[in-house]
Amino acid sequence: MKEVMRSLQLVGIGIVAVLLLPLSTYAQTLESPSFRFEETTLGNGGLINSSSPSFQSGVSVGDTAVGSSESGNFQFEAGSQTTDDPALNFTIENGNVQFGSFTASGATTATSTFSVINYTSYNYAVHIVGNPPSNGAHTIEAMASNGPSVAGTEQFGINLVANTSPTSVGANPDLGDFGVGAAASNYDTSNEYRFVSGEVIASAPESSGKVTYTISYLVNVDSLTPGGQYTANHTLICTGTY
Amino acid sequence: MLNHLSWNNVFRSFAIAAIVASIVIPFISTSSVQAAQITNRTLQLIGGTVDTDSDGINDGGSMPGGTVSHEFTFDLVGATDTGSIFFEYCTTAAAVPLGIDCNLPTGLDTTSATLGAESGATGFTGIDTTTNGTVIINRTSAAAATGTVSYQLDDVLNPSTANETFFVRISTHNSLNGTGAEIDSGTVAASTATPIELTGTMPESLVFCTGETIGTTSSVPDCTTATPGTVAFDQLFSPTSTATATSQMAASTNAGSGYSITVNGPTLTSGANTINAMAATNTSVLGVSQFGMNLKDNATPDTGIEVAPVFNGTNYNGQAATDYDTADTFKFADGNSVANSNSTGTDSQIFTATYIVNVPGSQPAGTYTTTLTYICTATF
Repeated sequence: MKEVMRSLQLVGIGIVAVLLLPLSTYAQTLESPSFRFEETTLGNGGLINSSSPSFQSGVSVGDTAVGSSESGNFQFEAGSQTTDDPALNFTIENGNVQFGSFTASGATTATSTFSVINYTSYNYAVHIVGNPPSNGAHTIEAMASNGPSVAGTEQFGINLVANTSPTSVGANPDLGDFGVGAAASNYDTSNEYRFVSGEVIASAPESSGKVTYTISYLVNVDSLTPGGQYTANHTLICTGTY
Repeated sequence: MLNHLSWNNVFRSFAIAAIVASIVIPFISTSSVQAAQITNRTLQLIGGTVDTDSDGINDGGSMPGGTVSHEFTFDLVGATDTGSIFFEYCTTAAAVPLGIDCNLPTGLDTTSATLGAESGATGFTGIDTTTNGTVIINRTSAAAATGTVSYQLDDVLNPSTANETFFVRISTHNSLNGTGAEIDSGTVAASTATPIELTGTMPESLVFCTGETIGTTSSVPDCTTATPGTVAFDQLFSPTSTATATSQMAASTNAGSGYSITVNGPTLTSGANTINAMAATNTSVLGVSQFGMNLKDNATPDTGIEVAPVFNGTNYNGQAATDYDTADTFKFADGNSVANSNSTGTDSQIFTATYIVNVPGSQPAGTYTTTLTYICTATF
């Protein structure tokens, strides 16, 4: 009888060993030129499925905290739901920007927002492409260099931070709980605006949870700015490096 | 007893086999699927040369449904000679367990893609776009490919759904057709994005007024200061001297094509008697029936003021019109344009209209009057 029990114990050990096989065969790598990380031991740890003929449940355990760790040469994501597959979520949350009426006596402002989630990446950058608002042959002057709002002078510029001038408009990037990112240089100074098509307006040096950015738009016109409706289409492009 | 021993042997054999399998199989499976991870991999969406939505702006790189370029940049680490690179567009980064391996992003079309710029490992001249969502580029023979490489696929039709993430699985192969074992592989993600539409309105503006005089406020012509009333000539009409009078008008507009001001009305009349309007430009001639005007600073007779501020071609574009723009030369014709803003917008300026009257000795006595109407028409 003892031999039977011993054999059953060996069978149990064997079954457990076989069941562990999938964990090791799912191994994939996360690496940089100077670092290679086997993610096997981080993922797949927290999902437990229980079932009976009439009942099934799935619970996740161990998710008390998730996030990333890094040094100059490597980074990894902690938590039970991690993966080394790229995960990019880029959303324009308010893409209809209405300025209303322009006037030479004061600035007109408006905002739009977009959000980025870029997981298991080494960085991301958001470019803006487009032209200043135009009406027929007339285009409002783009601010090719950083500067403040000047009423009565044609200006079109943006930034991605909270401003107090020419009015309270915009917001600093909302990093949420696990977001990483910032307005790019030239677009990160309060009350200073700029617009150069193709430039990077926001970026992050590493993987990031959700970050919500607010673009503040500034338009100033002069007394000779031709009357009519001014329109522009802008495209934001988020590029992640994995 | 024999049954017990027999079952024991079976159990032992199974257990030992399971333990051995747990040790050996990982090495077997790992060695069969191992492909080096492509590092520093990125997909940049680059604006194209097509204006799909006819808004006057070429498609931005992330425009849903836009015809754009996809530039892949990555580091190759495998040392094996590479003959082809396989790009597969999917809605998921990796195969869904027990599901479909790759779903094509809605609206994506790579069948017209062409191979644009390449760098690093070059010489990829062939491109196979037969299967939508799959692009294979290849070269005539496999050769070494390491380090940072970049390949741009032009004329790719983006997925049509806004704010949609899509993935491209990249793998390099020794073969020339994207088949066989992967040397290096990796997945990149990109996303379409809703275009941001900016709209604002600059109100059309035209400010115009007339009066005997118009003043300024802070050096800017101010129509609220215009003085209404009758413009009287400076003397009784006489065959030996010229009677003169002036009126003023101010105008500004942001009309892209500027404004034109016309003078409308009859010549001076007293009952059935009139003073001849100067149908052609001429100087002031004593003893001749003449009623004319211009918008200049004249010397003969000494009357009138130049438009103020003067025309500068930038923000002050108002000027006297032809036939009314020469000092000491006058004309009057109903409906004539007497001033314009050089077909562009202008800040406010004050024009001074100078009127002259000469009469012959036989001019019937009486009070001569007329009502002139100035009409400023802007073209936006």
